[in-house]
Amino acid sequence: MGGPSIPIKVRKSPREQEKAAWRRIRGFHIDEIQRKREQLRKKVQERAIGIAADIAISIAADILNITPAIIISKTIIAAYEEYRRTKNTEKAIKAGVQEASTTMVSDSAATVVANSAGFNPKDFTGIVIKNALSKTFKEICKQVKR
Amino acid sequence: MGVEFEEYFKIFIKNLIIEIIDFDLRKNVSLSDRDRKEILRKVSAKLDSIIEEIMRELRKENILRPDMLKDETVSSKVREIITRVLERHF
Repeated sequence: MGGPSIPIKVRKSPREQEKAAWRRIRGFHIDEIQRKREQLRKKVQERAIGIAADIAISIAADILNITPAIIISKTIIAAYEEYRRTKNTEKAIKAGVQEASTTMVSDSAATVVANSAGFNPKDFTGIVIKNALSKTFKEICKQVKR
Repeated sequence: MGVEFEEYFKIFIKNLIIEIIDFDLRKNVSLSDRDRKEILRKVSAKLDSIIEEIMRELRKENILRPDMLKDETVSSKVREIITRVLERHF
């Protein structure tokens, strides 16, 4: 006969229906396991980062404890006074680093301490102190503008 | 200066601690750049309240003045307070 063909829906057997249901359940559980695994990985990583941060601060405290205090205070004062005088952050940073280097060189104990803490004295003044001063003045400039 | 000495001191001490840690972490070759930054972010967040505590203790001693810090005994006292508070928490 010439009419359009109509698809006939064949109902799945109960066995096949059960298999399909189990596939859906398994799929759901696999997704759930993956989600929980990812959650666990993130938690472990967060905890590890937290522990690492605590240890890092504790190491910094030890380093500060053996760093001659006068280096830090002389650096702070030199940079502060230079900034008050010139209002120029670059000059202030330079003055602070210069003061730290001079104090470090003149104080042989400071050099020994820096070395024993795993810092090359030049790195301590030229990287650590310089970066700390740069960031400080950047933050201060932001506060002043506000 | 626009910003008081105390505020300048507070910001510098926080940055100094972070820079010491950053320098130390960079020596650890097995640490990825991403992890190092994550640790520093966490350190910075943890330090905020600790630095406030350090400042409170320093204010109590009334030694946070540029002219006073030139004295070696005073600067040692300042360092002692900073490390004592840090050690109390970490």
